[in-house]
Amino acid sequence: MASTDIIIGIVGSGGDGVITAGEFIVSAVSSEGLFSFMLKSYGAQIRGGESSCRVRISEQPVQSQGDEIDVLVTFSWADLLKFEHEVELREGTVILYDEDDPMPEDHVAQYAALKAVTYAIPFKRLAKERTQTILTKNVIMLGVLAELFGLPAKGIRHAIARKFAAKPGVVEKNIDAFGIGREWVKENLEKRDPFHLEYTPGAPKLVMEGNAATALGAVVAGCRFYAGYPITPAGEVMVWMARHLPALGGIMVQCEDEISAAGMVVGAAFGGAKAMCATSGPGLSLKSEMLGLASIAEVPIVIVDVQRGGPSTGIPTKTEQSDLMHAIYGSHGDSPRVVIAPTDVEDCFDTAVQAFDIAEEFQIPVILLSDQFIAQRKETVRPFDVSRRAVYERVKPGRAELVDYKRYRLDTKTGVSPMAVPGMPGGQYPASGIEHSEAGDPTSRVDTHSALTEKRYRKYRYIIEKYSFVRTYGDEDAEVGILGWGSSKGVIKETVLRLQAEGRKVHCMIPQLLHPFPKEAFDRFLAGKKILVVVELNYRGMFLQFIRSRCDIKQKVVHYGRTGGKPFSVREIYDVVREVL
Amino acid sequence: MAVDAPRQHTVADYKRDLKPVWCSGCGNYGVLNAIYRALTELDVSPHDVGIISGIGCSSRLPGYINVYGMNAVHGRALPIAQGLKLARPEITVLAVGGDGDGLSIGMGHFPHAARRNVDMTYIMMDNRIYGLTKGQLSPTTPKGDVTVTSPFRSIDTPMEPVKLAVAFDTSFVARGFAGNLKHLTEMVVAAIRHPGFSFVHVLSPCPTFRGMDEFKRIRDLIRVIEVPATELGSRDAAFTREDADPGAINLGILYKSPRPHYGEEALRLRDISRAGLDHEPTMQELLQEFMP
Repeated sequence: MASTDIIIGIVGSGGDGVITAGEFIVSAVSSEGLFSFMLKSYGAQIRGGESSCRVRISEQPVQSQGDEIDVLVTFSWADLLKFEHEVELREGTVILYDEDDPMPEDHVAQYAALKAVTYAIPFKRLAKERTQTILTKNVIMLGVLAELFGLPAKGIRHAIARKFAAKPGVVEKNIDAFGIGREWVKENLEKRDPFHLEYTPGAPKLVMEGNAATALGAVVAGCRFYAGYPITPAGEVMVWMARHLPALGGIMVQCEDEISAAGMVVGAAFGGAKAMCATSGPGLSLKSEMLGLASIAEVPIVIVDVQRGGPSTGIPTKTEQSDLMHAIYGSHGDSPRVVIAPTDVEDCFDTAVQAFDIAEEFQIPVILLSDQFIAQRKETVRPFDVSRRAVYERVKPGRAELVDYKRYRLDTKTGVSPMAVPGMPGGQYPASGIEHSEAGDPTSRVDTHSALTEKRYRKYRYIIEKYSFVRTYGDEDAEVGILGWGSSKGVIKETVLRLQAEGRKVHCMIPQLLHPFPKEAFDRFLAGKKILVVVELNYRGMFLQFIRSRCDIKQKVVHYGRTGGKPFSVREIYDVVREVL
Repeated sequence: MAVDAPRQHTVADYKRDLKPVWCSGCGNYGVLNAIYRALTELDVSPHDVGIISGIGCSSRLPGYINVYGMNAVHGRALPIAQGLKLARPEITVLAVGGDGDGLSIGMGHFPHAARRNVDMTYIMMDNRIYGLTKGQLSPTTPKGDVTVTSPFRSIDTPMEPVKLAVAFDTSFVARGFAGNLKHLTEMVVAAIRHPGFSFVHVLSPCPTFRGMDEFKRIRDLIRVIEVPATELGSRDAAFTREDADPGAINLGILYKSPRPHYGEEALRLRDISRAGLDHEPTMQELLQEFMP
């Protein structure tokens, strides 16, 4: 049987090279023009401990990690047990395991019931005997997979050569190991499963993780100042910036804490630079006061929040969509800010560019609400043009406006007043977190406080007008509508496509701009719907609460929300929607 | 020898119309005047100066100077000022604030600013009390003093900002007194001229919450000293000098640890990271690393 969409899971301990193997597959299939999607999952250990990855490969764009695993490789049954809630097997799953670690008795019946096809492979023995090191066993395993399931051998060899380019001996050893795995299958294994990847090779595509895509987008938008503090799962943004900003003439500062990072960004943006910091929930909590400052002092900054399981330390390595309320409301006082959410890896790039555009145009802090699910997964992305993008620069005062300059002029249509930056003669003004007059002078006058607050909120209308981009899929005239946001887009879209293929009518909407609330777009979507399914990866139902606070929802609402850790599967969402169709 | 060009600016160029909220007799007036005079002496254009503060009586200062200023968040002047300086190296950047702002809520930033050594000046106006919130114990209030939050006497040991700065290996450490304008101006000028992170501890009395005789009390303790250049780099000497006479407070430049500042080091990183490249990488080139 030809497979055009196949999901491979690999489980092992830290030293087994599980993640590297997954990355080789992603790189190989992307270089052949296929689409792929790779999720990693670790235990909490710094080094060692259990780790797993799942790679989905398809000729068509991959929307999600998919459902059950078609092919599972496990180097250790004990490690597999630690992922039992994340690794779901299908009927007829193929399981490869090391002959050194025989299948435990109690698994035998379980897999028999699943009609699983199992192969015991001497991964470790082949590595030891043929390459004199067990380090190559992951690559031997890739050879086995390539031969058994038709993964692109040339692409895998290319990926190996690239990864170990700096260590020539290592390249050879691994290429040999890859061949050893393939040979062993040819000589010793009788294929008893139906999976075999069939595809037409195409032009190579890009491979990206969301965090790197966010960093690249920021830099394309003109960001040349980054301040950060190490935090999971946002760390890769800072690492990328540290590698690239110096050559671009920019600065990456590793700060003493999250507050300092946000402060540095406020200072740099006050100085005229496009500046950003990235963090996760705990960091956003600490940055709340700086957000308020950027709000009242009208300093354009971008803060990326790569959400993880919360509250407090929560589950730092796993995803959740539970910072929504914090992003929208987390500050004392009336403090306007913008919240936008990327929906997949490529979108991390687009929304980063847009975050800067909004911040610069409206002199307002912008929170980019990413999450671990998109930030740390590897995904195939169609090549895109990074040079074509026109980016927005903030409005600065002209010569006439610098005479008796008022930094916070009230009489502008959009609430945006031309912003002088240090070095500009005549533009000197005191910015402040304290309420201030149009000229920037501190005041406790209630009428000024009221007028300036209105000015700062006036921007919302124009932000919504210009930036309320929404994604919709399915049939507009369907009676059942699905609403979701951020990284849930993939599974929702795939659910809609699956239902459409079955001839069922359903419509869904994923807003990119979450706050200020694009009410018109929501009202348009709600019109004609009888049942609403609201999907979000948090327990409290933050998104539903937020929508309810803005729209008069008369429809029957089915809310599907649960705590994170594990992203939604398509089956999960499909079952919820199918129930009401 | 060429005659110095006439100065382009006068003190009036740095003044703003806004009337300070400070009480009469407040030491902060002296600091404000010293900054006016120092900027005049350095002849830097008002639009090329950025002054960042936190929150507190002394942090109101940016509102009274005709430069780019920011009265920001309590304790956070240093990160904001460093961000400004790193993004705009050609701007003269000062951070100002009080003892509560810098040693209590914002203390975490001080050692890191010293360690990072960004080319900027930090002026700490130490009045040994929380004034804006009306008279609470501060991190520099002497042990045994009565305040509204230590009504039976303070049992907390006060911090010593200069010794802390020396311990942090701050590249320039000086102390001045709000009541000695000429000397304080000299200290601020020297601090701004110093390439790297410079710290000026200013004794800035609060007559309202520490009594009308605080000025006199401090005046009786201070002595202006000139530390020999050969001793300026010694931390041991700096500590010994501070502890030598409990009845005296040293004014002057007290410690120096010259080294390349962060901006210079960052430029070096730029060269290293561009090695083998004759141009700034283009966005299309950055995209290449994502090709499989």
